[in-house]
Amino acid sequence: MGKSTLILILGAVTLFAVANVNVNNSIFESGKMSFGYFNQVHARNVANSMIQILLSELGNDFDFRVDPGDSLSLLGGLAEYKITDCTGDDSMLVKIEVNARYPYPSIYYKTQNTVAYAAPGGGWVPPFVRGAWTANANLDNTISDMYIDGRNHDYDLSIDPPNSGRPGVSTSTDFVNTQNAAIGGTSWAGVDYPMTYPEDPAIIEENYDWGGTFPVTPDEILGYPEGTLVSIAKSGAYGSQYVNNPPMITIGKKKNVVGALTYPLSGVTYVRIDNGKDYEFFFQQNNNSGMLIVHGDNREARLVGVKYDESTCDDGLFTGLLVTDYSFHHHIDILGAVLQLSPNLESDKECKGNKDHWVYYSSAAIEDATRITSEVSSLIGNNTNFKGFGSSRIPVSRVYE
Amino acid sequence: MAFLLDVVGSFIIGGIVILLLITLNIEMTENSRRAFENTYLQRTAVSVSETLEWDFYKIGYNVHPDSASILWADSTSLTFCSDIDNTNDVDTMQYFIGDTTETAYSRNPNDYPLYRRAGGGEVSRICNVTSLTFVYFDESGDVLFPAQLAVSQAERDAIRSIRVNFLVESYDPVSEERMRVGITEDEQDLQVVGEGGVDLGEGELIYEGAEYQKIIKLKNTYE
Repeated sequence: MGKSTLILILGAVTLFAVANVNVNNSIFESGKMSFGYFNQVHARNVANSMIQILLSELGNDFDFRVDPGDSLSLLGGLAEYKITDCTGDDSMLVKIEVNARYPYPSIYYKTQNTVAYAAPGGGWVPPFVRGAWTANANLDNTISDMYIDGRNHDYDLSIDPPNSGRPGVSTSTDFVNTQNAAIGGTSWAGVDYPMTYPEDPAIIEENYDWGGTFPVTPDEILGYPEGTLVSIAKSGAYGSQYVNNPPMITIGKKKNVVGALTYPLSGVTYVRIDNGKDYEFFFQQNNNSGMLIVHGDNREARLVGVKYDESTCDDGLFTGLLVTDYSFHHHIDILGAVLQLSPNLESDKECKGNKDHWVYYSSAAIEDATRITSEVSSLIGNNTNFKGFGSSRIPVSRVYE
Repeated sequence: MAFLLDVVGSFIIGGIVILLLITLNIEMTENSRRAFENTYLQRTAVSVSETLEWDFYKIGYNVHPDSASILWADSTSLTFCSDIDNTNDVDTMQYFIGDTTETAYSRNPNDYPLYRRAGGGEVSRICNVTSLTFVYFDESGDVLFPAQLAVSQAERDAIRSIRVNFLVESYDPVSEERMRVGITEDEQDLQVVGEGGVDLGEGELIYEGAEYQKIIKLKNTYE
């Protein structure tokens, strides 16, 4: 009996020991997995934090590059990073690669590779551009009998991409096409309508309620702090120009022309007028582009003609965003959009004989114009065309993690 | 007489010792099984979470700005576009659940499969879950409700983060005891009745479980 009991006890102890080892192994495995997952999450945090830091550096210095790579101890881990140029989406991008390890130094580290593509200086269509022609006032007389098309045009004037444009006209009042303009556009439902007269109501946005948000300055159009566009214009970047109450010059038979400008226009051309005089714009060369702003402090700058000099220009084409307070007699072609700030646009006069000019909405032309403002100012304004990492000064086009 | 007493005493003491050892071994075996089950479930939860996070953090990656990133979203299924393997080819990814009849091999009556489908490829079962919930938030952190998400692409385009919650449970109950959720009138009866004698049916069996919950912020949808 004594021996049997002893054998039983030994057997039981053996079974107990085996079971105990199994339990301990399971507990160890559980701990290891939790530990591994915890480390993985931290490695991701280290990678994301490093990218934030590098985006901030890029915001300070647009030309900041790190190639070959470098490393930084961060949050108990290690982040190895590299910043290089690359191309994508038809534009230059900055590739930020981060390889993060956590914990470091440790043999139990986990790694996280994250790649972010920053798109500094990315252009965008400001949200206030709701039509090929946008105003917070009556546009019946201002649009004259031009061709106005809110469908999205590329530089070769093709509709590209289709169904991605805006209404032809967007106004906060009733709209009557008094001079039989041919108007087309893209409805807010995303359907293209070719230019016709009478126009399809789907591509006319009338009585739009801005709810008091309509911009009263050019900076507000882009969501910039006041004075930003003036600073850009004064900087001369990309051919930008600034003139304040410019001299009125005479060119041929054309009088009261905005003087002191160099053509072709590019970058940001800011013409500030608050002397109460009626000016005319008279393009002197082809290939005018960017943002053309004619504005006074109380939205009272008046352009009574926007034309081109046929003796020096072939087409009078402007590509980009035309921003005026009050303007009338638009005898040029515009690829991009027109936005007028004044609440009092032309309501009496008619502009006839303008059937050979057009305004075609083009997101590409507008984005090229705003790309300059973004790049020069390092501000994203009201640009929402970026991804990842919240609202930073440097738009991020995509993130792979 | 003394010999007889020794034999009887030995049997009694030996029997007690043997009973103790058998009980100890049963307990150890049960604990060992539960620990193994628990480890297995944790491993499953971690593995599934890694798969989900791998995919969900890439929602919208390389998708053209004019195209939708999230094509369908409700509380238990999600269809989205992403260049998951970074090859410049955008795939359509689907996550959806089956029903409890597809898990007849499991004694757990509440589990159902969670499926993943990449591109036009085959549907693969990731694991069985007893609960899965996707909750969607916009940029302000406000919840987007499934009823709106079902009918409006604009609503789906507004998704900025997703709270993923799932529970994996063991195929077999950890014990045959039933969890009592009401007042039992008869301790011997496993029927559970609520206050006022309402029959609640048989109590729920207890299963080992591991739960995962995380809010995943999407980095490739527009801010």
